Order: sequence, then structure tokens, then C-alpha cells
Amino acid sequence: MNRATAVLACASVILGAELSAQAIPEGSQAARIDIGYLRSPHFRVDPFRHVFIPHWGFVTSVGASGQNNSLNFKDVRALMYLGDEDNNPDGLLYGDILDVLGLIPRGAGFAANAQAESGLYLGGPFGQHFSLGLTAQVRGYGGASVDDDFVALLRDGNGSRQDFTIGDSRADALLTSEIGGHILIRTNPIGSVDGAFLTFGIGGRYVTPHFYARGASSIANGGTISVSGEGVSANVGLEKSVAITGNPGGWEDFEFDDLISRKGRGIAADFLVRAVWPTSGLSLEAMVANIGKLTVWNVEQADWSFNVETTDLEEVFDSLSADPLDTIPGDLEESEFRDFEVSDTTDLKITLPRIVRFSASAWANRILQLDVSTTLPVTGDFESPLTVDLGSTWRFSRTLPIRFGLMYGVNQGLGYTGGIAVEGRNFLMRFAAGSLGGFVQNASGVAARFEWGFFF
Amino acid sequence: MTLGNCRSFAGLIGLLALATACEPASILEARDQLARGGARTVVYVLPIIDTVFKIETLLEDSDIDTIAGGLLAVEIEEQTVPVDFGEALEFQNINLDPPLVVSFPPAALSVPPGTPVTFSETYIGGGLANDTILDDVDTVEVFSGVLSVTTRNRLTIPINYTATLGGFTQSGGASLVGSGTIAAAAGDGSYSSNTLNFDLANVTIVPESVSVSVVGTGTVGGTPIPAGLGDSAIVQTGGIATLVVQAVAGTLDPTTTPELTVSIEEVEEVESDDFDLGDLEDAVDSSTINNAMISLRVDNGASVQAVLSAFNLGVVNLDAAGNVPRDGLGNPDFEEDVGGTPILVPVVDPGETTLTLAASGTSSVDLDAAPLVDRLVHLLLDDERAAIVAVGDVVIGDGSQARVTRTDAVSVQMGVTVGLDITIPPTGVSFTRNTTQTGLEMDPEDADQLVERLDSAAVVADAENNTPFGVELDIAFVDGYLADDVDIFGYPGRVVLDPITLDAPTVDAQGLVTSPSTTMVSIVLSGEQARQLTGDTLSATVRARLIPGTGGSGRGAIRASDEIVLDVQARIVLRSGGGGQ
Repeated sequence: MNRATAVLACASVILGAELSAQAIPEGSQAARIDIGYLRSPHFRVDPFRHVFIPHWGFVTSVGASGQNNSLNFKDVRALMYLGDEDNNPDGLLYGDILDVLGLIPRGAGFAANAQAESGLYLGGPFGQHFSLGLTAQVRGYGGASVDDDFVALLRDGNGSRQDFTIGDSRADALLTSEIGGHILIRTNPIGSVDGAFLTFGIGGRYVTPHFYARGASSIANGGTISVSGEGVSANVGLEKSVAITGNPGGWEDFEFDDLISRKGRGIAADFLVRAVWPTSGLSLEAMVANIGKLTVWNVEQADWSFNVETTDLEEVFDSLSADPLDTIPGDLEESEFRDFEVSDTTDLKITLPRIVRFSASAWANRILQLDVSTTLPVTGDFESPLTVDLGSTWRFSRTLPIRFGLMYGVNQGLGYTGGIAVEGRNFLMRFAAGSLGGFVQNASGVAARFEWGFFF
Repeated sequence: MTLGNCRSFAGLIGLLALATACEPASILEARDQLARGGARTVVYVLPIIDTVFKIETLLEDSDIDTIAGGLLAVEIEEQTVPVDFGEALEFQNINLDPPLVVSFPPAALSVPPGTPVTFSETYIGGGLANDTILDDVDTVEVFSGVLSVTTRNRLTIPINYTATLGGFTQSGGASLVGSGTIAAAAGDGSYSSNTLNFDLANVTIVPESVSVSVVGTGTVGGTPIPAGLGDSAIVQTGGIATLVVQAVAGTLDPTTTPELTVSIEEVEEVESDDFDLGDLEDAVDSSTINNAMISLRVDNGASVQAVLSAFNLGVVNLDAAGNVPRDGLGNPDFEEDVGGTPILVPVVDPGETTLTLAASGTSSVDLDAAPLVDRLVHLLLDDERAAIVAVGDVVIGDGSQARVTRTDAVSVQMGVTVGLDITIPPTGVSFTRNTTQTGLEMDPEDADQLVERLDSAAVVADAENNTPFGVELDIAFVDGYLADDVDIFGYPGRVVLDPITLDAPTVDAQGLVTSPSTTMVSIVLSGEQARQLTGDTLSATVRARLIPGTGGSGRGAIRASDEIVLDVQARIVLRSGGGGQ
């Protein structure tokens, strides 16, 4: 039984049952607001975010999140401090870098990812059973990872192991704009007045890429790097795929306005099913979004490689000078990597980072609503790890919810979230922020979201 | 909301997040922050040297060769010794024999005063033809020599005479002619005489054609000539003391013409820069050379057979002026072996006692000359002047018709090959080699931090000794570039590692390695020692001491295949993390 089948089976059982074990108290805040506002906002991409709003109007929003699994903000400040010549004339030393490498979790390698979106929504309900929302969005996805098989070379040395590889190290980024429409179809309660309201959501987006870049090993399995007492050998290669401007000049001619130009096209589809038991104060939701492929035009593909096999460290330095580095004689530190050699320019079809999320909420309390969701990991391009969000919404006032929560990500660990909102009949304002992977200074990630809207 | 807004928002979030993290108050605090990870060690094992160190690389600037048995050899620059036997060819004490005698009958002398007395005599086939020295010589072209002809008169009247020498042809074709006057004798039977000296330079002598014609006249005076004086009144004798030959032709047979056997002594100085033992110079200087070969190529420039007889090569220690030392008999004072016997190498054909050179021919021969070359090399390594001296006889001709000229010579090209089969003393021999190599190219600040974080450092050397000797290696290095002639062991700040000892492999009686020896040495480095590795350039010196092997009585034959396989690794353990929060 695959995941989708299991979800449908569970849903059919749940939807047909009467959840009489709990009931929301009389006069609770949850009972006084539209069930559309009971769908708690999420930091990450959610195409159905606004179409659930039970009023006609528009909403603008912006949000971003990013995290890594190694460095917290204090580390970054320390690095900035040591790298500032005013503070530290000696600059970053080899030992400092060794300490930083020591912060990368053994066995996991370095991982970081980020998402950001900003856009405009216009829409609202047509009666009780149908809602329509139109959106115009700008979205960005980015991720980077350095395989532990590569990090280990510098972090652990070659005392216990001698063979290394670039492995799955990669970096990728995608910036898109899109227009789309989403509809919701709601059912009446199934079975009885306490039965479940079902909501089916479906939507589509026309996606245009504006920036795409990807780098990874060009050699299967990441190539090989062997450093032992007997010698050094390396056979590694990197490939880079970039579509940044419509001009052949590449990075040299890049200007930010170039991002406005279209670099391709694609279609994305989003699906959602949500069951709500209003009187029981419970909801379950499954969402699969961002299903689709994107064709990026004129992607420059370039390679860079380094091969050496020697028993002499000096020859390694010489090889570095001769091959991948554009060297200043006698000064490797001031050397730069040579330009990648463009091998091809082609249209590239990429898969959008799929979002599979399961959520559940319960509000069988006068003021408190609890939410839990899990977003399944995405592998491959725009990789993101499994995350679990546990949130609480406190409605001391019907239209002024306060939210606190915990957010767990496989990369960064436990984090903290909070937010305030005004969710009224004619006005919406939400602000939320998260300290990911730790608290404030010790956080290794951050998330924030702001949105406001007006309704007719 | 525009794209720019989105970017600004994301940046704002980042800045706010960073702002929440207080800036470190000090470098120390910043470093403590980065070191918040758990204490751990990082182990780097790096190759320093993984090489096959061939002994022959010690001779990289030398002219090396491989000889029989794979033995490595150094060649001394080829020497050429001309043996100019033509110049040595001469004849001595050639006489006009028998003497020419003129007698007068008594009636011829009993004549009135004023009566002339004349005589004319020619001796054809006499003279030189009767001297056995030139019996087998057809012609002799004279380089130098004087024929002295003395004519005596015992008449009491003066005699004017003219002597014409047939068979002595001047360059223009004319015969030698000379005139003289012999004073009147006393009349008591004694002779007065007159001598004519004929310069024979450029004169061609044909011995069989030699004739002497004498024409003379005198006038009887007032006093009668005693009758008894007419017998043997005029006597003419002559001879050549030394005839230096420009060319000689005929049936040249040294058995009948002993002058065709000439004694030769040629000296060829060998300069110290005629060979280069590279970094093995000191080792060889302290050792005995057991294998050396002199390869001779002898070219006979004459169109006559020549035989080198009793011909030897020896070594002499020249004085400061380059003169050959000589014994009381004037012979070269050759270098001697420990028994006091001159070290001489006979130049002979294999199995023979002489070396025969065909007319205009070439002969090559290899001579085992280890003692001679050993002495020669040691003299030169000790900054003495030395020469190879060739002494002996050249026997010209084999009885066949031939012609030898003054310029005829035998050219001896002498190639000396010093096989590196050496016997070193029990105390061993040392040589030193300086090298420079790239360091870790770290900034001084990085190097300081590396030393601070150093948990341990060691150099681990695996070595396999395929040389016939034991080897003790002393290694010193220092940061920076130093010239080759700098003694790094005495240089300030140098790092001297513990010695590495490689046992001598087992060798056979010929000094050849039968099985290599191996060793592994681990040398612990202090932090300051490790710091010397971090600069841009590293100057290192290796002082190697060769120790006699266990077999062969200290004898070791260095083959081209002899090598030390050296695998040197650095194992550096650094501390990381474990600080701050």
C-alpha cells in the first residue's frame, strides 16, 4: 500500500465516523469564527493559503525561511568578526576553519535550504460550497549541501579513512514568478450536523523561471579523492547549469533587472483535501502541491575538473595551480578558481520541488487551538528535509489570535515560532517569525512571514 | 508586493536575525564561539616522500655507465696518448769502412822539384755498404746528422783534395762534395789531417749506392820526399755519430736492424675535473676501488707493423711543476702498492706478452687496472697532480718492405672506467646532500596556531635498503631557502631529526646484494620542529653514512639497480573544538 492509498483509506474511515469524543465548548472562540480562519498559516509554501479566507478581497504577503544544520547566528557573527580586518588583522586562520568544520554534524554533512515567496491574492467564496482565488506570486527555492564524505576529509582528517568523494554535494537555486488560480469545493456535513465538512482544493499555476542555477558533481558518485600517506589522487569534477540572463554574457553582464525576463515556462498543479468537524473541533488535511515540471531555456552547462595522482604534495599544489586555479605565483591563497568551461547550452526540464504535507488541528477549547503538520522531505533538486510543526493558536479575542509553536527540522533541530494576527471581516494582518534550530542567537535558521489584506 | 520587496524582506529578516546575535567582544571570544563543538582531534597523514632513491642519483652530474654484472661505473674523460716512435728512430756510429787509402810508388815521388803529384781514387760499393747497421735499409732520409770525413797526409808536401760522396743525394739531386787542403806532414811518418763535415739534413742516403771519390794534387818542393812515405800516403776515414731519420725504407726487420726497436715514454696528466664522482666522492676517497678497467684503442698511424713490447702503464705523482719524478736511473718513479712494487699495467693482447698493431691498423684491448685507477683516483681526490705514464718499446717492422717516417706514431686512446665496487673502512664513509622543497606555504599566523593546536606530530619512515651498505641518515631542515653549500646542521634554528639507521643487507663475496633490508622508523616532532615545515620553502640536508655490509669484508658493489625505497609520511594530530560554549 502506497502512501496515497493509505491516506485515502484512513480518510474514508474517519469521514464516515462521528467524532463524539469531544465537542467544542459553548461560546468558544473557535465556534465564532469561520472555519476558513481555523486553517492555521504555515511558514512554507502553501498555494491554498488564502483561498480559504471566507471573504472576498485581496491579500499581499511575503515570507521566507532558511536554515542550516551547522552554524548558528553567533557563529556567523564570530566569523564576521574574525574576518573583519578592523577587529582581527590576521583574518581567519586555518584553525578557525577547522573549528567551523567541526560544527558540521558527523555523518550528515553540511546542509542548508531556504524558501521565499511574495505575492498578491484576489478571491473569495461563491456561496458556502465554492471559493475561487487568483494569485500572482514570486517564489524562490534554494539549497546547498556538502556531502559528509567530503567534509570528513577536512573535518576529521585522513587518519582513519583515506577515501573521500564529493558525493551528493550540490547547490541549486530557482526563482520563479507565477500566476494561478485555485478553487475550493466544500460539502455539507456528511451524515449529520456533526459530520465532517469536506473541502477539495485544486489549482494550477503558470510558472515562469527567472533564475536557475545548479551545481553538482559531474562524475558519477561524486568522483574520488584519496589522501593517504602513500600519495594523493583525485578525480573530481563539477558541473554547473545556469540560466540567469537572456544574454550570452552570463554573469559578467548580469543586472538585477535581468531577472524580469522570462527564462522558460511550466505548469504546476496543487491538490488538497481537508476534513473538518466543526463541532468536534478537529480537522485533518492532506496537501500535495507543486506538481509539475519547468522548462528552463538556454541553460549554460559548464564543467570544471581536477585530476591528480602523485606522491608529492608539491605536485598537488602544482596541479592545483595548473588546472583549476587561476593562480598568483607563489600565493595560492589569493588564487581564484578558473572559469568553468561552457560545454553546452540547452533547454533544461526540471522538476519543481514537490510539497506533501499532512496537517491536523484541534480546537476543543475555549481559546486554544493546536495544530500539527508534517512536511515530507524532498530529495534531489531543491532538497528539503522532513519538518514537523507543532503550533498553538490562542484566541483570547476572536479576531486577534496569538500563535506559538515548535518547529522541528531534520537539518536544524528544534526551533520556536510565534506570531500575532488580526483576522477580521474586512481586514487581515498576520506577522509570524521563527527561530529555527535554537533560540535567537543560537538559532541556525530563521523564518518570517507578513501578510495583510482587505475584504469587501 | 514586488520582487524587490521580496528580496528586501528576506534581507531584512537576515539582518534582524544577525542583529540578535551579539558581536563578540574579542578575538578570543569569537574563537571560543567557533570552537563550541566538542573537543576532538583531526588526524592528517600526508606523504612527504614516497620515492625510490637510486644510488646513481648521487652521480647525477657524472658520466656514468653500467658495466659487467650491472655494476655502476664512473668514466674518466678519455685520454689520448700519442706514442711518437717515428721521432725516436735513429742510427748511431755509422762508419765509412774500410778507410780509403792512397799509396804512391817510390818513382812517383822521386821527381824534380816543382813536379805535381796527383791522385784520384773511387771506392764504389765500399763505404757505408760495408757497415752492417744499414744492411737492410734501402734508403734513409736524414732529419739530422753530420758525416765527418777526415783525410790524412804523411807526405812532406801539402795536398789539395776534393771528396765527392756518391749515394748521398741532396734535395736538389746533387751529390755531396767537399774540398780541403791537408798540410804537409813532418816527414817522420806521421800524418797531418784535414776534416770535412757534411751536414746530412734533408740528404737521402742510399747505402748500396754509396761511393767515395777523392781527387787530390800536390807539388814536390825543393826537399825530396822520402821514399818510404809513399805507402798509405793518403788515408781517408769517416763516419756518422748520430743519424736521426726523417724516413727510412727498405726491408725493415727489427731482428737485423735493432734500431727499429725504439724505447718510448709518454706522459699524460689526468686532471681532477676529468671525472666527477658526485656525492660519492667522499665515499670513494675513503674506500678502495676494487674494479676498474682501462679500455685502450690503439691506432697505428704507420704503414708498417708495430709491436708494443714490454709496454706498461703506470701512475706517477707529478710535482707541483708537473714534472715526472724519477728514480736514480732516470726512470719514472711509479706509484707503488703496499708491498713496494710499482703499480704497472702491461699493455698486451689477451694471452700474449706483447700488443701487435698491424700496419695502419687498430687494436682495442681492455685492461684490468683496479690498483692503478684506485691510486690515480685517490691522488686526484687528494688534490695531487697525477699522470699516467706509458713506457716500453715499439718494435717497428716485420721484415717486409716498408717505409717509416718521422711523423709516424701510434695513438693510444685510453678510457678509464671506475667501477663502483668499493671497500669502505669499518668506520664508514659520509657524504652530504642539500635539497630544497616546497613547504606547507602557511602564513606565520596560521603556523603559530597550528603549533598551538598540535596534539602530536611524527614522521614515519618506511625504508627498504637495496644497497650493499648499511646507511645511517642524519636529517636536518630549516625554514627558508639556503644555498647548497650551507651547513644546515650548524645553521641557527635548524631542526635535527633522530638518525634513521638502515641495516646493511646481506651481500655475496662480490659485494652484490642478495636480499634487501627493511626498517620502519617513527620520529616524533615537537611543535617547533613541525613549525619549520609550514614555510614557503624548506631547506634540508641529508648526511648519509655508508657502513660496511656483513659480507664481502666491507666490499660493496654498487649496481645501477641499487636503491633505497623510502616512504616518509607525516602524521599530524591537531586539536579542534572543545572551547567556548
